[in-house]
Amino acid sequence: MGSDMGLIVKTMARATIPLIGIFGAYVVAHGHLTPGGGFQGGATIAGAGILFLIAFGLNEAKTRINKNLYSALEGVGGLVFLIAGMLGLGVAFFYNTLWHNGPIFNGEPGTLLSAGYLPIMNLAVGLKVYTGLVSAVLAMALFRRWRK
Amino acid sequence: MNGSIFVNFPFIVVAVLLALGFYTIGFKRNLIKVVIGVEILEGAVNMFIVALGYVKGGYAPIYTQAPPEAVGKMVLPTPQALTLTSIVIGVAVSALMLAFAVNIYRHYGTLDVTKIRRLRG
Repeated sequence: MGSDMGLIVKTMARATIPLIGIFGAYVVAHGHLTPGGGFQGGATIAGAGILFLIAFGLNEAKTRINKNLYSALEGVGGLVFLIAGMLGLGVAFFYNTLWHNGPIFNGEPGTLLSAGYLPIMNLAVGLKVYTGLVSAVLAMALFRRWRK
Repeated sequence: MNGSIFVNFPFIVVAVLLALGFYTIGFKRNLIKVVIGVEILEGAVNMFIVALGYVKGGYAPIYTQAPPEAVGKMVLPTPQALTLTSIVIGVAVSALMLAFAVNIYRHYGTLDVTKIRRLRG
């Protein structure tokens, strides 16, 4: 109680959080074509998460954000990046085998399904950045018990 | 390009920001202000790296729908990748420093760096 905003802020947050999330997902997914990429898009989506935390208060965010799930997803992001880097291990580490002779992600340069493992890595980094930033900010927000 | 002092204007700004950051780290007592000084330093370094890669009249190094005259006239992409890495590291470092500041305030009851001793009381 008392840690959430008023009605106008809550309504505007309900309207803008999906838009911010969609824009961040666009930035992550088009990281190999347009400015942006994993970190920028992940930070944008984390901005949506922080807006949720500020607008709806700490108690609501505590019930919606699962700490163990976010830790696990952060690890999964790092693992996917590592696995994508090891795909072409027959030639070299970080050899872009999806681009040279892979089944997918080897389209015309400039289209969405191109650039080999880069979109996969962008998604992994975006997931990692989003979960990491949201859990860091939530941990800081949970630390507010000054005098017990 | 040559003959104008304003070519070096970004580097002058970088020097001013560096001086400001070092002054803030050295002479301010509040730990939050010290963290702000570190962030100013970081911004100066990022701006220095990006300004090093500038090409006069260059285009952004993105080939998606680039105009035909942009080929061969793009700014250097390597400093931008370096700056991106540096920004990520800066975010992590600032989050860690602020978490330490919160912990220090909880443990000592003050953020003054001259009042923080090992023994409390």
